[in-house]
Amino acid sequence: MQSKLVRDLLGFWASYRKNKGAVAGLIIILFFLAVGLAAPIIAPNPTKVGVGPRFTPPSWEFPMGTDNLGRDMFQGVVSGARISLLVGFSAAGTSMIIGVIVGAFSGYVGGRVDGILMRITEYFQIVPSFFLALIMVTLLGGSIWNVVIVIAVLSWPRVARLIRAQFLSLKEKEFIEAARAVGESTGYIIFGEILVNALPPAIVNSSLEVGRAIIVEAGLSFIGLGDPNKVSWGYLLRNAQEFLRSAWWMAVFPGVCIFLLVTALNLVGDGLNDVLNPRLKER
Amino acid sequence: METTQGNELLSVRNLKTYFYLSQGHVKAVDGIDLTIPRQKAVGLVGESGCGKSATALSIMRLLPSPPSKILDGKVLFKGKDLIKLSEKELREIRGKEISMVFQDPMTFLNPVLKIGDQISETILEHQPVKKSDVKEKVVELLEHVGIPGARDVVDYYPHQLSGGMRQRVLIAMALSCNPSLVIMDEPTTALDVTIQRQILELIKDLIKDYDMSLMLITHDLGVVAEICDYIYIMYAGRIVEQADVYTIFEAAKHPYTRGLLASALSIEEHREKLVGLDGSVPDLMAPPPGCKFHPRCSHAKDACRAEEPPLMELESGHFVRCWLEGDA
Repeated sequence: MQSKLVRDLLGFWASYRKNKGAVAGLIIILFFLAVGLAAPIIAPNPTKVGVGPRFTPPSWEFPMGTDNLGRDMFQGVVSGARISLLVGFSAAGTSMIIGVIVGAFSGYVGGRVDGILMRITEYFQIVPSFFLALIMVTLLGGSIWNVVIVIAVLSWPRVARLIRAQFLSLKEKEFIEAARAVGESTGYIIFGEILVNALPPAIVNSSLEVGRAIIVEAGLSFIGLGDPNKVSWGYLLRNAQEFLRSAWWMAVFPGVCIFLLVTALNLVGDGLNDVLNPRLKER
Repeated sequence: METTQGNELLSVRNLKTYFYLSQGHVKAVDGIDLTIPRQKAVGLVGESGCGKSATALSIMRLLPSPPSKILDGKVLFKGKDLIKLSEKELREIRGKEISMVFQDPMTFLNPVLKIGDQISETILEHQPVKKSDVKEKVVELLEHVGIPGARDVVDYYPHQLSGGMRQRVLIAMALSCNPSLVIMDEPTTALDVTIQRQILELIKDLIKDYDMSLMLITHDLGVVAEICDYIYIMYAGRIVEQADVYTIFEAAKHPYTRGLLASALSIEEHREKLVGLDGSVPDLMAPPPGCKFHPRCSHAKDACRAEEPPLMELESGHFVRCWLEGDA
């Protein structure tokens, strides 16, 4: 079993690495993940006031400078990586779970159930999502898990529609008829036969969802609706806006990090798409 | 056929399956009787669109409903009426008691699952086999259906196999739980001629090895002659002639059967022109009155246009639905 899995992963890697951009993206993500995991060690006090003079430009002592309260920007950016990744992956994961369940059920059962579920999905899609997020965070409060839930609630419809479309075409495939003819249970047909075929586009989409979630979180924090107790990149940007002309480093470093991470996630999405989607693998 | 009651495995009585479409209803299977004795191979022959596959799928209860509906009839399998069973009870029978091999091996295997996993899933569903032992069983099965290097093939994906090999995999899958009846729907049609021959030889051996009955659906009388003991000829949702294989080839009575035989190619005789049946299968939404074959029949008389003939027994086991035989 072990060796089979290793062989599969090696095969996957062999086709993935043909896309140079995707490899670069993966390296960037892994770098940020490592930074985020090590954040409590590298940056133990991101919120401590007066570790240095106020508005120190980047220097050897403070590689990313200090802010208006003399806090170390480097520590802020490092712990921001932790928060952004946490929010990004949790929100994308949650939306994936909701979306797969709703989409699979809707597509497989069809008929009236499908109609009702899809109308609900559309309601979520037609509401301007950032405003819905604003209202929900205002009502629920801005703790980090509320932010995750809000982002997941906003993004599951995309996953659900993707999975549903896959189910609609896959359930009519001959191999599903063959599975029914040998007496497979409905549960196995949905998860064992159809979902494994439907997942690749959803996986590709999920890497983009992580990027979207990071941006939405930054946006919420920027307008002051994020978790006030957690230093995220959006929070740092919000803090920087007043001093944009006097202390450029306060905005540039968090901004560049968001840009790099979201670009990297998109590159990985492209790479996964090449490997998983068109099944051009010349195995 | 009533005489072989004790020996029958599957008995279909007056089966009617209609498809209800917006344009009208299609009488795909219109009152069919057929019997499959234990350990015998029975052929169901007819042109495309005559209701052969609909018959098979009705027996398995695999037709989507709507649009299809089984209106009437019984499908007695080992004394149980499959029409009356619940979906759950049917799952116990599908794969374990009756299994099916489909026409196109390219599309009937799941492209993202390994061969071994697809077969073992069927076994685990129906048999108390331990997960650790199931791989051995799969390898054994694949070897039995003549797949070289079966131990490696278990880890292959369907697209890594040729059409003939895939059809062998499908056959292995159908046999994995030792069913007493296997229904094969045009099992060799999608394969090229040399592979067809190999698969036919394999099927013949397997019937013996596994003590199973076979229902073979095909438009190719050559295939039937090779394997089957008894033949049903189907036309426009009805059985038009039935007899043992020798009688069909030596003394077929129905003009449709004779037409099919004449259109079969033979290596021994050289023909300038291909002989075929004129016309095509009638519109099953509005079938012609009387004998459904009369518009294409060169011997049609007034009686044929007026009333549909009953299935008449000419001699023991040889039935034909034709007025020409009735009063001749």
